Amino acid sequence: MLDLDTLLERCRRGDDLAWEALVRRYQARVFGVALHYLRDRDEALDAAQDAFIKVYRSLGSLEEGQAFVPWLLRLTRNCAIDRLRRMRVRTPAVAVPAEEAVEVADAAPSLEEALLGDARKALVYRALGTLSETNREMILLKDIQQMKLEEIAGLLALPLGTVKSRTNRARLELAQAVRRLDPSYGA
Amino acid sequence: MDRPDHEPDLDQELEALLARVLERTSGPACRRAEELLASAARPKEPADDRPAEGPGEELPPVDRELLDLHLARCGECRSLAAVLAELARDLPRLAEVRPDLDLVEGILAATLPAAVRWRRRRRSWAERWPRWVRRPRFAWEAAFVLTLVALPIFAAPEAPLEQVPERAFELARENPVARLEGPASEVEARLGAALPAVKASAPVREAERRVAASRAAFGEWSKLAGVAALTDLPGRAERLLEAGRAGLGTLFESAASLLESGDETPSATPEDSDEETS
Repeated sequence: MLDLDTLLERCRRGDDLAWEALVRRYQARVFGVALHYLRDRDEALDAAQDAFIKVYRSLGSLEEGQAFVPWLLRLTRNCAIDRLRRMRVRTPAVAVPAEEAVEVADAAPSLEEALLGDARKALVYRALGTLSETNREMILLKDIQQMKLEEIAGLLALPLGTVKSRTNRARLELAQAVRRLDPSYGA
Repeated sequence: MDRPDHEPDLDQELEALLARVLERTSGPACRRAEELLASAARPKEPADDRPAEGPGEELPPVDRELLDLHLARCGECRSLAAVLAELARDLPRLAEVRPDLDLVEGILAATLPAAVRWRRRRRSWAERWPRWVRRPRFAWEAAFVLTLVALPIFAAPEAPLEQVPERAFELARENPVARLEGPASEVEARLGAALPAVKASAPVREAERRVAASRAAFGEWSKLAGVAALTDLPGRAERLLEAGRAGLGTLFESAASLLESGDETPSATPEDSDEETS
């Protein structure tokens, strides 16, 4: 596989093939982050596309090597949050009865299973959905995207100690949520 | 060695005693065990090339031993530990989610064609513009476009510059040249009055003196050239003379004409220099 630095250098020089390879390499990860924030396939696809277009527009100032992935994830997060804000202010064209809203919520796990490929991942994903937004974000950034604590602290503008304690608390909460959904998990 | 029959009972009693003591002192140690479990939940994967970070990732040996002692006795915490370990394996697998359609096509459609289109447009414009301007019709077209632009600005009712043409006509009718004649003749009279003073001024006199000195020097040089011609250097003298005529003749002409126009100083002409030479 091509070295990331080489790929980025080629992208900076305007090599269209390198750009295609870069998108291909990181699309699943970017889509994954967007999906975790938005929990909606179409919106996540749009957010991922927005993120890549922003990357393309700033090709000249792309971050070097190891800093690229955290930068890309931060960009994706920002795009997803922007989209989330727009979704929240958007009012539905017609009033949705409460029963239908429940059905929509129930239908979500099947989408997760379809996207995630196996029931076990879908279970964890569902458990993540029961966490508070703060805790979910901590799990997403630390345990799923494997970002360093310092990177998360920089991204969320929080002290390092706060990030550590929040991550630990989020893990415990997630473990309890998984056990509630499936007591056999981890047995 | 066989364990005594009463030992299980003793263990239970000791556990009960421990529970009672903890209850009346620090409380159960499960909270502390949970903290340690959560902070040590991410085992370092063999494939993970990222450096281990923070004290939380690798528990200090003492904490590890204390935690193991607790886990050996506490089923609840042991179960939590198992779930956390399982999550540590499952969560990184959620990092990548394959979209059901390829994002690449959409992203490339939204990025590359725009850039390529812009480059092409710029290039074709640069090629087309000179050809377009050179067409014979261009002047007519430009005039037509300018008229179209000017009409709404100057001629249309309520146009921002509607009053401008009318005001221009008014000015033309007033004959601005006649208005300027008075001040112009006054300036001319003043210049005429000032001219003698200018001619008598020190710089003009200095210029005259320098021209006279140059004439004298040229006369001296001509004599020397004549002497050179008599002393077996006729070719050299001739060349010198020619050069002198060509170069200095022009200078004298201009200087003489300047003096002639400024004063009664006698003019220096090429004829004069020829006479002196001869």
